Amino acid sequence: MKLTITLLLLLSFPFLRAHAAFIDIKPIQVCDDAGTTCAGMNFFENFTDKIWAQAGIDINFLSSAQILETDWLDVDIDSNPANGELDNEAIAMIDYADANINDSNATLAINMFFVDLLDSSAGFFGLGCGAPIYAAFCVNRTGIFISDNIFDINRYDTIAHEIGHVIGLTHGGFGAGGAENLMTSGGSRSVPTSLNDISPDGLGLSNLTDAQIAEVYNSRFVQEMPEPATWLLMMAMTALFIPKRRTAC
Amino acid sequence: MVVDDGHDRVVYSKTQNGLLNAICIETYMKTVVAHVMWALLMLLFAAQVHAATDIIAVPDPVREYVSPSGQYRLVIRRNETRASISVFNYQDGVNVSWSSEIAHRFGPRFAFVSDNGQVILVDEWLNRFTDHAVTVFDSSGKVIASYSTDDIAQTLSATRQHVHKTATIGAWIQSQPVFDQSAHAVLFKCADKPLLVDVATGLLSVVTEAEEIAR
Repeated sequence: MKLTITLLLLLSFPFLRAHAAFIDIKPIQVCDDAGTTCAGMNFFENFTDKIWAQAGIDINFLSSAQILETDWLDVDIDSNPANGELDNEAIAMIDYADANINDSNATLAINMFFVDLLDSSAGFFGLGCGAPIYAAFCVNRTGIFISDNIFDINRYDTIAHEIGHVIGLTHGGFGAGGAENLMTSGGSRSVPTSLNDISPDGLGLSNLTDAQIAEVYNSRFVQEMPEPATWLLMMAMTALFIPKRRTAC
Repeated sequence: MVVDDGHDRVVYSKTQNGLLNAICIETYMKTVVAHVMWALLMLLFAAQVHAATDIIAVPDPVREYVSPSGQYRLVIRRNETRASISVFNYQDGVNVSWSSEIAHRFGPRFAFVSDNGQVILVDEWLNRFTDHAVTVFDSSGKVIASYSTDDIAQTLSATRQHVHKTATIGAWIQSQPVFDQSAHAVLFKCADKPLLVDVATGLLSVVTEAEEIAR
């Protein structure tokens, strides 16, 4: 009986079998001071999941939180490029969320801020901090910023692209650079308009190379999924604590 | 001793003292190296900023196109939510022929206005297969033809994969669209084939090799 239940669970939740790892994302929606106007929030979850399934990674979006701060609806990301660092406003947002909502570095759930605009630019769609390679620019902070402009134009791959930056991928490294690759820069990358065009299907867009897949597993934010045997053990342990129904003699 | 408070003065000083010259050059070289290092550092930071982002360069807020004879002027505005186009007739003073909001978020990648006031828009600004690959407006601003990238692939009898693989501009265009010699059609290449968009009818056609040579 218990084996049947276990089997049913495994069949019901394919991620137990199909994914080797997962990434937790903590969505944070930024609103005005009154909480009446908020940045749009959508995870394009089907797209994000299909893209990262190429690497055997499940993207797990946790329950969302809100920040009420009008000034942070249009966040300064890099208003002072001369110092080569993330702007103080972006740093303040990350620090606030780490202290009050979710400490990305402690929980390994990456804070993802949904805002109206980045640097007041309609063509600035996202930024991802957290990988050692960007430590200097990101001032050792971790966080993803997403402009809700991506929802107006259905730019389905931006969220997956920024996750890639956080876990160590660049625009030109590990085989990126072609129009089909997920990590190619925004101006040169072809953007999928349907799930059917995401690699390995259709036009093969948002593709990840073997080298990219190998690299992302070096990131601490890519957490290992317990193996099926471990799941079985966990479920068996849980089963021991389920009170048995008393039967009449 | 020489104080290097300006490399122009140091380098171009006409002193006959060889030792002083050597010191000057050494100081100058140190300054140059320091500047180069600083520039490289800034470039590195700049590269990092761009490397961690998803950014596209959006078109200018206002773009203008003129018909071959100069009679018509097409103005494309990138507004907050949707782009808009206006056509001006310069024949009898300046008249606004028509004006309309279009489906493109940032506007088309290429635009043309004919000497009869018809307009052809090609592609969106975004790198993707689109429902707004080619849009043709008549002289009153009515849409007389609209094609998606898939429609174009079908016209060319090409697979979507081939269209994408051969693209050099955005996700599906192979060569920059131009007016043909008569300025009655717009010509560009897609999936290795020359494609013609008739300005008056909005019809698409594949140009044969002989026609291409004749053009």
